[in-house]
Amino acid sequence: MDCIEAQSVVSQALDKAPVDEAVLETAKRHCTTCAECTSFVRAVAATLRTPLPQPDETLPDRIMAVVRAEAAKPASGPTAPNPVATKPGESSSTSAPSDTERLLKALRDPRHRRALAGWASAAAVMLIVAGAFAGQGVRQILVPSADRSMTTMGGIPEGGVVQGDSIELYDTAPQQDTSASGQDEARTLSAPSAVATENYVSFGGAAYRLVADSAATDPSSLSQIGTARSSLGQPGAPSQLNVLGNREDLSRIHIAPVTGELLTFELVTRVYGGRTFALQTAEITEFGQWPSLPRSMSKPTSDDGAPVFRLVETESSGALVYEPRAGGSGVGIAIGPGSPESDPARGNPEWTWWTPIR
Amino acid sequence: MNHATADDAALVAAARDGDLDAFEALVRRHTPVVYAHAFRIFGERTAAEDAVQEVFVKVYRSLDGFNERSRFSTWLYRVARNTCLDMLRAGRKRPVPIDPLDIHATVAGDMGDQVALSTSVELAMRAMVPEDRDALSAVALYGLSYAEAGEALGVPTGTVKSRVFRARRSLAMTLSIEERSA
Repeated sequence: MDCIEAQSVVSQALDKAPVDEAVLETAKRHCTTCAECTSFVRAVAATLRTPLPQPDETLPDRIMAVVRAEAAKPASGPTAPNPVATKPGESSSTSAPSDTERLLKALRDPRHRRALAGWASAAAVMLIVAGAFAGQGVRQILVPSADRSMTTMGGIPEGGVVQGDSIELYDTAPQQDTSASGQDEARTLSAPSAVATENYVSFGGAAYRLVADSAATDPSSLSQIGTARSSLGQPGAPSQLNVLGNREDLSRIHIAPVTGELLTFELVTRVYGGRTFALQTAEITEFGQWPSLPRSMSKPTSDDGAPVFRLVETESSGALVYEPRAGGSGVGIAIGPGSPESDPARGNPEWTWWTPIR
Repeated sequence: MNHATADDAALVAAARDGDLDAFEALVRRHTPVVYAHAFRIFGERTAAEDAVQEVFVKVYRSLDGFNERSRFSTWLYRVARNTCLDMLRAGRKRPVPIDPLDIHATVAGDMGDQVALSTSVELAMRAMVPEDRDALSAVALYGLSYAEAGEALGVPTGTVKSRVFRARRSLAMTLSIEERSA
């Protein structure tokens, strides 16, 4: 028996492959008398007793947080389609359903029914808005109902200010292309919303929600603090609008559209872990546009937030809270798409990014 | 059911019925192996942990697709390998490059030191031909038979046997440098 054969027999025996006893004995005898084979056996034995590299002890908990969030979603979990990639030539353990079966399954899926209902609602809202614009003018559309003034949660402490694009502090991935094609891609990756969009504008990288007209606001107490680009609720291209407010307190801003009204917007905030976070966004140029991740931030490609975020927990409201994989929640938090309507993200179908303001 | 003592098949069946504690038992039982597998591919802790998380989420979503005639370990190995390869192909993660001099410097240390030995073994694993490392991981980490590994890798049983042997010889040659230099 030569060295290669002896080592091969020992290797197979280690793997519990069937090996003839007599052949194995011969191989063992060879290995005790041959320096090369002795070295082989000793090295293999060393690798067997070497401890495996160990993951962080919290890894199973983090995995289960994602799985439990997955399980909490309607109609997801074990009955979802198999997304596991297979190599060409490998057989799949499930047979491929026909187009009709897939369509029927999709229509039976509550998530899809909810999405269809959402699109139908959105279409209905669009028709109503179009009719209202034609018949009533802009002002009645822009002035919200009383309950909308309650949507900003958490509040801003006196003297609170919006921080700049703090997301740039931890650039973990390539910049996302926000050109027209990039935006289209982003929309494709987002879930349709089942709730109507609020009226937002962006200012200083933060999202503000329309809360009321400002009949009670004394315009003389305000000064111009910048500009925002938006068409507000009017048809046509967005225009540059003067933003009025108080630089010492940016929790509220005011915009005077061409029609002369003074519209008031409130910074969208949430409280998490005892801290107040403000909603950051890419530019919002029209009403009906949801806040989305800032331009400097890549969008996750997976429900678990990868590769940008890591799921931290599910809030009691049902909103999924994520933190950056690099930086932790001290830098900011993300909320997954499709938060409940009662959440400060208001059922936004996009990922949203929130930075601490105090 | 006692999740700690239940076998994989029973845990999978319970998880399919919505028992998340059963799934958690599977996660805790198999995380070390999947992590070691991913770590040997990426050579970096964060990438390996991301891969492990993605693997188990995929497993959870695909429980209905699990063929009960196969062993859970075989299926898990296949999901883990495909997930890591997908991450590499998509450019989401890249393996940390290995400098052969690093391996030599490590194995030239004290082989009695478990940390040094572990480091040298891991570096040698990562320096291996990927096909050989795949086969060795399937058999030595996941405990698959040559036939099961062959099925998972889509190659004949004999090919698995030779790849595992080649991997072990490669490891032995790397580690024997230390013995000669001691």
